[in-house]
Amino acid sequence: MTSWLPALPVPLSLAIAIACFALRTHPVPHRMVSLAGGAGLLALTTLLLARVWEGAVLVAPLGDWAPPLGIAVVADPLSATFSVTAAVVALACIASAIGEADRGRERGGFHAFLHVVMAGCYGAFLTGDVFNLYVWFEVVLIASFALLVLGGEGRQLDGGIKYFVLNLIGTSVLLVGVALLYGLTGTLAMADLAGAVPVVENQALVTAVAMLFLFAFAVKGGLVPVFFWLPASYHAPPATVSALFAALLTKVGLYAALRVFTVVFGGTDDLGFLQTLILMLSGATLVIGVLGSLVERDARRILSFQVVGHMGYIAMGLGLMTPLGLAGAVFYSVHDMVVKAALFLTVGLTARLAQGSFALASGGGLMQARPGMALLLFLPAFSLAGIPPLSGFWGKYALVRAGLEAEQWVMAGVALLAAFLTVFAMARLWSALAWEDPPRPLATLTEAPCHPGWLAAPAVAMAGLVVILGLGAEPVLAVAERAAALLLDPEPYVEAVMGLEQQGGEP
Amino acid sequence: MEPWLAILTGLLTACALYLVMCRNLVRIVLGTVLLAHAINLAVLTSGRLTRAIPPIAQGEGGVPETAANALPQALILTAIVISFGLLMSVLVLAVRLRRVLGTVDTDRFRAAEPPPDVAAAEDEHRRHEA
Repeated sequence: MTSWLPALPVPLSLAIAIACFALRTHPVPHRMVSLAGGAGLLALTTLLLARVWEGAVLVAPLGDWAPPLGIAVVADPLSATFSVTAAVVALACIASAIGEADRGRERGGFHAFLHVVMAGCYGAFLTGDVFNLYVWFEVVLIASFALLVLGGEGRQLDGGIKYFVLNLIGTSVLLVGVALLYGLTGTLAMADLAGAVPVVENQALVTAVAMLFLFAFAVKGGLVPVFFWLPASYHAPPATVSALFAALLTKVGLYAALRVFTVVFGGTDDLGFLQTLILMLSGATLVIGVLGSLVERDARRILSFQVVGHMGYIAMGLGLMTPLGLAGAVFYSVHDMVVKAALFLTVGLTARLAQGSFALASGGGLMQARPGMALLLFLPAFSLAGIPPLSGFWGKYALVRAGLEAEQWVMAGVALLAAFLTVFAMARLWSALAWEDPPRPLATLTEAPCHPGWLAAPAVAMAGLVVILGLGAEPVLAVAERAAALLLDPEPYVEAVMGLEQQGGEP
Repeated sequence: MEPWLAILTGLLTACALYLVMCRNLVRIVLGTVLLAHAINLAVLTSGRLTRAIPPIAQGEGGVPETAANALPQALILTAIVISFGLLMSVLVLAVRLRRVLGTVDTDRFRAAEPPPDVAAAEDEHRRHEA
């Protein structure tokens, strides 16, 4: 179905970014434009999700050139689900940034860069062209890099250079993969590739190209063994930026993997080998990521390793490549975006009470002084660990069950082990910040130059969403199942995109 | 012609990877530049190299059959613009890093890492308690 709706989020985000940059010296209108823009994008993506809820595929052929010659923007349940969740997280981060009230960073264009990151994310989620995907990866990279180093503190610059160089190598490898894929098939549209890749004579070369894609997506998605940029940089910027990064950046890489390894490489001869490799990577990611979080002493570094570890669950769903596995991966992505944003925003709040220190040793005493905030930390922390009825439980349940059904006993066991270790890591984090005696009496939020209401509201909203996702998981799981069905059998997707040609869309 | 360009791409990539793995930040930046060039060459080569006529429509006849493929060049143009933007931002970052941390030796970029003495002191404390 042709519709211009999927084409709107990217230009709108960029327009908001330009408006924010123009207004950056006027604090109040600048913040209001950014907030209104974030809310508008949430409404737009929600409308998009409502249109594709039943499994429809919306196609916007840019410039009215039909694919494969033209570039199409495509929305299906998978991309719309990711877009809506990203918009929710972005809105929360904008509100939290208003709460931080950091005039220096705002003058540097904080909100503008945030909206460019969002434009890149929407672009990556909604594009139907692999070269376009590369371009949006680079847009996300350069804008997130600006957010990361904005402010210019030594540790931001240090984290920034590691983030930048390693991600740059990852996206460069993606470009080589795209080039070779074009050389093999003569097309770049994903829907066209779905038919062209299986008929390539030299299937070994296709597998080699798939390896390049896997490397690039593993770098972006923070999979072991190419995750080192992530824990080196996520704790450096302000808490709001950490929350945005933890929620979105790795998920862009995993979204691309979910899309490309099913629609494009789903029909290759070596699919079994690819699946085994992805499963091995996901198992290693689960174990090493979660173990890494156990040895850290800084709340944000603990959570950074948790970001790495839990990418393993999404990769596991992809590696199983069964309907339940993919649906579990989609549901887990939604849960992970919300819960990571909630955790980083809440940890930002508790650090403000501990004189700005994220170290476990300088936290504590929340239970006595601020039981509400202890609960606020408890909900996402134990949702991450997978305690029912919070949202993490359903994702893990679906994935472990899919693993057992596919007779991947080791993989299911590793997933359970990682969940168990996460309980341990989160219990350690929570008891250090909430239970133990603080070394210094806790400060209050009003002491620092910030708006406590704007800071607390997004953290509360995200924690609330974790509970809602847990108690009302059914509709999200249903749409995740429809998304998974479209990934496993991309025929409707291909028809929707390639069918435009016959309708006289030819220029 | 393609094999030669493929070998050249490989050579450039090897040099780029060697530079990226150096400790000096300036060399790392140069390595990323070289990597971008190597990849642009790979894009060009994978679009098939032909001595063809320019892809310009000739009146009613449209684009001639033997016209060159314009798409790889469009892709490279995009990639060049992107890599130029990335190069500029990483150069600015390198200058700033040199000013703030006083070094371009990546082994001494420890500002974002936990200070080693604190970790050691904490371990000592824990052993003492045990």
